[in-house]
Amino acid sequence: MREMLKQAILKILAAGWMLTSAAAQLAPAPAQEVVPPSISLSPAVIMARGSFGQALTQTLTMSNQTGAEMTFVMEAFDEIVKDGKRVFVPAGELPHSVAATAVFSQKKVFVKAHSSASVDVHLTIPQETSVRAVSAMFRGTDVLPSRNAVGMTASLATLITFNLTPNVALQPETIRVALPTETSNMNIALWIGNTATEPVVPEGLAAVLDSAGKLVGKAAFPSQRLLPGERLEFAADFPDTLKPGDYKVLCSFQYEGKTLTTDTIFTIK
Amino acid sequence: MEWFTAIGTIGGRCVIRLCFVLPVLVLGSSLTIDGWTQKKGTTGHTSRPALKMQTQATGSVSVAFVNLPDGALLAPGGAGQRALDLGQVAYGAVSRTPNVQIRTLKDRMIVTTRFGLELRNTGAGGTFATATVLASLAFPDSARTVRIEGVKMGLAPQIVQPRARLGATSACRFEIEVPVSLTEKDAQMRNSILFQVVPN
Repeated sequence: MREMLKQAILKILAAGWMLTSAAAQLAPAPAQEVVPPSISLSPAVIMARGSFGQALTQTLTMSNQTGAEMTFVMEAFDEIVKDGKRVFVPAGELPHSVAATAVFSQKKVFVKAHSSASVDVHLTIPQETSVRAVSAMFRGTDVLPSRNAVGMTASLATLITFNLTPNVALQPETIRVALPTETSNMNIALWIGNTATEPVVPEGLAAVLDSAGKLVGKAAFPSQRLLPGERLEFAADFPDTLKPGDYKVLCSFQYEGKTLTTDTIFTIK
Repeated sequence: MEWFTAIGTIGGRCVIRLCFVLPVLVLGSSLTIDGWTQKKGTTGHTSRPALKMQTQATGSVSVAFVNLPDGALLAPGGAGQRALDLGQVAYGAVSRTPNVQIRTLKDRMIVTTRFGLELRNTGAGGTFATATVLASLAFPDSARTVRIEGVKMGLAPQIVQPRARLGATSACRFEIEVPVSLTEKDAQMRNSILFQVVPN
């Protein structure tokens, strides 16, 4: 009886081993992507929600996958939109600066070759501020002494955005439809402006309807962050081929629990 | 002696003396007050706002300087620290460095080449597909004019690529303008470009 039980257990183990090895043989080997040595920062983006007077503490980790030790100095910048463009303002230069409240657990960071180092950043939102984004930067300070060569040093930053009020609004502009050619797909594009006080990351979709109102295809807009006052073009390629006729394109964007829709008509001849 | 006795008997009845009751009342009161105060502070009582913000952290951004087939060779030194080999940069000099173009004008010469900036989102998730690239000079250089992507470099960082795509190699055009007055001896450029990458 004991011998039978032993043999049964051995059979189960053997079957398990065979299944495992067969699965291992069937499973495709992970693709070995050639990645050049680099430095990387994690997280890249932090989206914070709360209200004025609140604070956040976050750990930022810099990884050095190169063969050389690197030195960084921690700095914070307020990130705003001025004349339609993003501007990085040193801490304290703006009234009610959020970057000015940044406290780093260490000011100078050494990251050994093939190693990583972490720094905590603590930010406190002032009781009143229009700033909604801060970049916390690991500023590279190693400058290569070189002769007949120009040294290049990299710095990386984490973008930290703040949603402090429910005041969100997007303003769409006219949809433009670039009809397909022999070498390019149809392209649907529109500019959208953030006219309120909070940052948003709209997720959009373009739906193409025929003259009978039937859905004939759709395309997703790559999502982009819009800081307050920022205006960006959202564009999507429509890969399907359309028969000649009249069509309507309906663009819909979801953001912060709201939906923005806009449409236009076009004709394929 | 009787003062220290907490419990006594008077006329056959059990009596708790004041000297015992008072400290117990004081201690109890203080514990109650402190306990509630602590509770309010630590468990997020609804009448007070939370001090910490809710956060959602995503992605990981990486940068590497890479050689381009039609660009000057990047000297080794780690991908976050490289050197762009331009050869001797002086008026009248002829470029002997591959993929470095020299254009000689009446009063100056312009040295041009390209290099690659590879940006990636190496982490999980992420609400960004592009990054802003800024650049500046490490040291002041009054003799030469350095441009990256046509933007004149100074000590203050300037945006050279407002929307550099992640997951791709961006070609950066590098240009140095050298005046006629610069002798070959002074032509050796000992400076560095400091690049900053901020996810959008």
